[in-house]
Amino acid sequence: MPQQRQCGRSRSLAIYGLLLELYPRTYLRRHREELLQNFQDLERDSPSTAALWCFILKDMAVSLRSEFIRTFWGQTMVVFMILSLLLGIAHRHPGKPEPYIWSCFFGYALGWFAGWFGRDWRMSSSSRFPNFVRSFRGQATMLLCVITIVLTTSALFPDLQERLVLASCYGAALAWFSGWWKNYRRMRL
Amino acid sequence: MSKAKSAGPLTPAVFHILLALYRRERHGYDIMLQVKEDSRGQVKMGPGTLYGSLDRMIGAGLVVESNKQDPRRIYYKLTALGQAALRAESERLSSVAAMARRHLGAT
Repeated sequence: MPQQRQCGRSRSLAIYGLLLELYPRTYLRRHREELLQNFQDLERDSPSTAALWCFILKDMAVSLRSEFIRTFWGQTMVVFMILSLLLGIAHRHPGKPEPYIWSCFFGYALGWFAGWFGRDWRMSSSSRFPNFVRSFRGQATMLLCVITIVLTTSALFPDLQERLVLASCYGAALAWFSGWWKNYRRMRL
Repeated sequence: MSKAKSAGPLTPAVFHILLALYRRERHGYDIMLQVKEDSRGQVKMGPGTLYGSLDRMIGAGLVVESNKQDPRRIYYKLTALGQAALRAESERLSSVAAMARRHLGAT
């Protein structure tokens, strides 16, 4: 009987090892060994295999979502789900709003990418980038460059003018909001 | 201290982890057991949730890894900021509880 239980335990551990592959790579690199050891401890102290798996699956449902949402691909998926929803709504109600929804689509994607890379850049910029880029003059220069690019593109492609300006406005607003929200979340843990 | 206070209310998971690590470094499973005991079984933290929270707490400077010799049993301990955050949160909870008692007593 103890041998049978030991065999059952090994199977549970093997299954858990496979399920761990669902977690993001960076998380697993840091914690795989600890998670497996932790599972063995839980298994040892658990009253039954069913209770153990009930606890583990509930934990995985919560933590997988939480960890996946923090990855680049998790964020991308959320953004594109929102945008697909917007476009779906626009298609169900055809008419005037569609161009604006497309502008929103481009703007949202632009703002989100800006927010994501801006955050990464800020967190790693102190040693890699010169101080000028972080200064007011550096930031103002970059802003002027972006405005120049938008205006030049608008002049070259007049049909896209309205969409470009709208996308830029949405992009700027969303980049700012995204940065603010990230800071807020970091403070809240 | 002011930085700990400005962090605002902590989530129950973070608060319980800080409490479990107060004055003693622990590894993951030990933290889980201590949290369960401190909360009288009301907070049951699984391994996936625990290590995610620990990562974010390390990022926020509340906790550090203290002993990494055995990768299966990494020990964690509070930083000075973590202790300050724990004290600030305890004070906040005490004042909220005191206010609630006053309101309930008045009715």
